[in-house]
Amino acid sequence: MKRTLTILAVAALAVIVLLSCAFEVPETEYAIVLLFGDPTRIILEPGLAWKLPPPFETVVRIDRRLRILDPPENEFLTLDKKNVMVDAFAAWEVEDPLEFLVSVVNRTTAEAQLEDIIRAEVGAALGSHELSVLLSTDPSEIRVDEIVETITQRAADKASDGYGIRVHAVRLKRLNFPEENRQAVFRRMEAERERIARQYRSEGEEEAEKVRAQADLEQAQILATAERRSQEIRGEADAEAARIYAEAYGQDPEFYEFVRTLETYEDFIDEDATIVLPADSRLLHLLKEPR
Amino acid sequence: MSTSADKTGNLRRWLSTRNLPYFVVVLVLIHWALTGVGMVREDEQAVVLRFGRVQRVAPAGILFTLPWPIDRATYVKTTEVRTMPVGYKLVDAVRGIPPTPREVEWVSGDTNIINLTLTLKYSLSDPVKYLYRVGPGEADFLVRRAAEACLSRLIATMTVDDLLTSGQVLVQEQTRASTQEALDALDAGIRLVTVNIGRVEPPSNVIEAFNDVATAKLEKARMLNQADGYRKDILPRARAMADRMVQGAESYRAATVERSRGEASQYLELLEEARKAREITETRLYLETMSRVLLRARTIVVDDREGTRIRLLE
Repeated sequence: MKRTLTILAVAALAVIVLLSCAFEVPETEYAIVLLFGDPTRIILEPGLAWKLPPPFETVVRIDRRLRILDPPENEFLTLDKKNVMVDAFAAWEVEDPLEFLVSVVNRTTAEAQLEDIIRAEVGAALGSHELSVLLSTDPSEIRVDEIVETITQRAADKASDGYGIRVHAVRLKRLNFPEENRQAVFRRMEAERERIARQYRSEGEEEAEKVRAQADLEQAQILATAERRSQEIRGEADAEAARIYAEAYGQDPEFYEFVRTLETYEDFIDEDATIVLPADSRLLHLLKEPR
Repeated sequence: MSTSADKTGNLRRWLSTRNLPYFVVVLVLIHWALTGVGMVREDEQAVVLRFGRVQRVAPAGILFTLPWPIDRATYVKTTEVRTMPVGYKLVDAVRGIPPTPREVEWVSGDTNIINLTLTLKYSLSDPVKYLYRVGPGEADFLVRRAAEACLSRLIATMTVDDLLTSGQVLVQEQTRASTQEALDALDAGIRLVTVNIGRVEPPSNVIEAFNDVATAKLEKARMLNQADGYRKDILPRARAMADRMVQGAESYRAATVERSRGEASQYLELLEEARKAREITETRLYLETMSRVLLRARTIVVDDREGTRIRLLE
């Protein structure tokens, strides 16, 4: 009986020791095994891992996930002496767990260091470019991608060397102006809009006037054409009538002259006319000497 | 020949003996084995971890794994579409609080400040990456930051007029594409479903100037309309008047030609008559005319060439 108990006790102890030798490395972490506080092994792959029991080896875990560092926005000066507020963020992760552990210990200090690096790099990049490489309606002037790539590269180099950090991307997420410049922008925007509004109004007047003038011109043309056409028609009519008369009257010019003379008499002799007839006129000769 | 009471009695007797420890062990083992059974819901996927390492991703249905602590499963809602605001906060939107200038303002390529909000909808394309590459809270944070960077860069190349009018579709399309690209570059396991523009408007202290431009645009259209109205008024009138003039000329033509024809034929008839008896006709015409003429006028007949004797005929 006593022998059985001893066996059980030894077995239990063995299990406890065994359990303290096994540890889990999750997907989200790297593990560093320390022998009496001295790093001996770095475990990069997740899964089950082994170590010597506590007094000898201990484990330090380091979060391996991607982190987003979003420091508050900062005011920078561009090459053409313009003040801009730039809000940058960086995506980073631990690249070298040991170096990270030795130099920065934890994420909070790491991020404080990284923040300084990023602020310095963004400042340097903006200070060597004019604002128009960030803001322009001409796509060929824009060089944001290039600038951001440079910042990322330089920040990555610095962070990788000293801190075991890998910087994936530094991006500028916001760009704005400091308060006083912002008010100036608003004033300029207002002036610009006023100019555009005025332009619309005067264009309206100009184009409306053009349309009216064109309409007036067309009206005059229509009437002039009609005038000419009706003159032509009247002319044709008169010519036609003249031809008809000539054709008829030309058949016997003497008789026509006779008839026309008589008509003329009728036309010009009215109530006020006084005709003096000699008594021996053809009309009155019967009066004197009846046949 | 045993009853049910006999059976229960048998079981109790069996349990009360020294078999009890075995029974407890079996129960514990069953319970332990059951920790390896789980249920993955319709909208979920389960990531199975063996000693913390991703072993597989299981679809919806019953999930069998090795029991704790060897295997563990994490359940993720993969079909769920999540919402992330850009340029405002969801809590503010619910309470009706307008976003602050710093949240909502962007700078356009022609150095105008404009207010713009977006709503991102995204889901998980890779639960493993979402859970372990970035981590749930951080991933959502990343989507917003990435979208802000892409949007900021895009707006910086556009004019304020484009943004207020035709450019909005472009903004949605481009932001979606470039944000997705940025997320993929970081292996975030996130798929951006849609990017929707909320509102785009000039900041409140310059909005009146912008509205005035819209008014001026309308005024311009109105002026052109009026001018067009003037044109549409006078031209038909002019055409009507032109028509009347030509019609007048046409009726003059008809009248003139007809009259000349009438007179000509009248004359020709007379001529016909005259050809038959020239002298008689001429005399008749002469006398008829004279009678009409002399009837009308005052006639003085002078008897001799010197004109000393005057006799009135009337």
